[in-house]
Amino acid sequence: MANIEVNETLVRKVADLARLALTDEEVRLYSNQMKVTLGYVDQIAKVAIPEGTEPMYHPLEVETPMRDDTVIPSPTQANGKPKMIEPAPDTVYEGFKVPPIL
Amino acid sequence: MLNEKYRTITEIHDAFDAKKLSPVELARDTLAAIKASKHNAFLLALEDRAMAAAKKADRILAENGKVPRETYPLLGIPLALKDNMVLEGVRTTCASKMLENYVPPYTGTAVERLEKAGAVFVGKTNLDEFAMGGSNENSAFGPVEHPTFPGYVPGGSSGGSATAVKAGFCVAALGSDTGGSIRQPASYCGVVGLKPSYGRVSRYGLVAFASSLDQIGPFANSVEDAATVLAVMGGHDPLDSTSSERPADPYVANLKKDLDWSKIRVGIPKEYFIDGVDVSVKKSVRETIDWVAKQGAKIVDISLPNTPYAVSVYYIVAVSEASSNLARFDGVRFGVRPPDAMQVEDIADFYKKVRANFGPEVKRRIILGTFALSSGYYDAYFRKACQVRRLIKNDFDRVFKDCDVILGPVAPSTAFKKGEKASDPLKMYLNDILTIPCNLAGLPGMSVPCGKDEKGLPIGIQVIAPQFRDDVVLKVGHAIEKGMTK
Repeated sequence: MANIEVNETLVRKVADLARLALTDEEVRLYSNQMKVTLGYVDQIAKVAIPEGTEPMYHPLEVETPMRDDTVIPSPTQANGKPKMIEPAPDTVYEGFKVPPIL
Repeated sequence: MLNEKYRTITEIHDAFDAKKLSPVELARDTLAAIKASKHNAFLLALEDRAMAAAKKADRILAENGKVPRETYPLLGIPLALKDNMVLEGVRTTCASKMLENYVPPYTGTAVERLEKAGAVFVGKTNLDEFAMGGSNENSAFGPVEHPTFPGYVPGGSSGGSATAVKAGFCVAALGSDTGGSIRQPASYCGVVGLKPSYGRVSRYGLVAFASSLDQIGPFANSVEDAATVLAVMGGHDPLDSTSSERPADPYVANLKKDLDWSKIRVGIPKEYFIDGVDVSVKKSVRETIDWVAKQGAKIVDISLPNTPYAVSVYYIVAVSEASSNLARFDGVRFGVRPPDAMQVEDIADFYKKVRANFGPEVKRRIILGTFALSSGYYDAYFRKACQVRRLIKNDFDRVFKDCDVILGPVAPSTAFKKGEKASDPLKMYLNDILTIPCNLAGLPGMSVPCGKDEKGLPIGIQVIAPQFRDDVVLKVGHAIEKGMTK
């Protein structure tokens, strides 16, 4: 872990993966802060993990809960369109409107 | 502002019964106070909704003569909720420019249950953007003032809710706690703040930050009021598969009988009294523990050796989950779409234009989380953090064989001045070291006021119990509260 070089190139790459546009100033700031934060969290690399320690991804060890296979109609708006699309920035027919990408 | 005489549910219900006060009068006064307030604790006053609920409460009261406490345990009680929980038709911003115009089409389960019990929701409270922060300085709509110390932070991320309760703008308020966001502001502001066990309260309707850590809980002026709110909103919800099917305990009835301290073993973790914890905080918490010992409780020295790694684990796990949860703010399903967003060559550029609406702390965490989950680093960071998380949980499982409850400080310090930690994210993150372990292990934890520092700033003691022993947290917290106010 300690051999990871946190630099502006890494921050730009990660920001791109996260679909965040950063200014040069933000890249510098986040790069410095990420260096400090990762420098701190690197301490977990030293923790000896006893063999067989399963990662804990969740505080409840639950299996996938099953329910009856019954159809419950989705709520609709007054115009008959699904209610869930109502708060979206832009809709068309019964869907979300996106920019042309082809 | 609420009259000093009417700060708890019991006091208000007694006043309703005696016709000294009516739900409508109370709601009207509360809304007027919220509108005149200078704390910036509220992002929205719910005038129409509150007045309609108060009028209904007036009718129920008139029909019954007295408050029907069994059916309506919260009849006419003004409550507030953090603005990361949804109410149908009411703007929900998460204190972010991203959701400035978001009006949700449904109501969250916790709020729905509280309204059915007669609660009058008077407003939505300010927070750190998407609940990310520990001082309430990260809100896109300005910081919240400490309720009693101008110029100081109220804590965060549920700083608006803590301030609202302490300053008398409501009797209780909902917050959410991912790494201490209820308990820390409760400690800073001098109110009761309960983070229930993970799975105790449905998260349906809570905007997700870190799904394996988030939990809704109450702020209140008394432990009994916190118990009342939890009893109403707790329990299984088919709409949240991570809500437990284990029925809620009779939290309020449990408090009626005095605690027999001689049957309680109290664990004191040495890792919670380290050098970084202020002397005044240690002193106040130690004095409370001494009082507990005098009541006959058995004090057990315990060790939670993996506590020093909690912040590291948290700032990998929480940010990773956040980077995934916040991917939904894409300008397609949610989010504000800038006017030029549709004129792009590449969909990635569209997303980038929309996601410029995130504030600096949110961006910082998304970047860190995306990194921890990215190819080549996943095993070293995310997986390893989850293994250490298991060790932290194992520490608790082990010590709870020797004790029934754990007592310690909530935060290493009392409230600090605005701007003091704002430029140093790591310093701010380290402030969460004593609250994070509960979230990682899924345990219930509560902050109960126990003293003040030399400046008069409030100090809270943290009460922690095994998973789903929220009843123990409340019972012990209640006994401490009674002892401290004697």
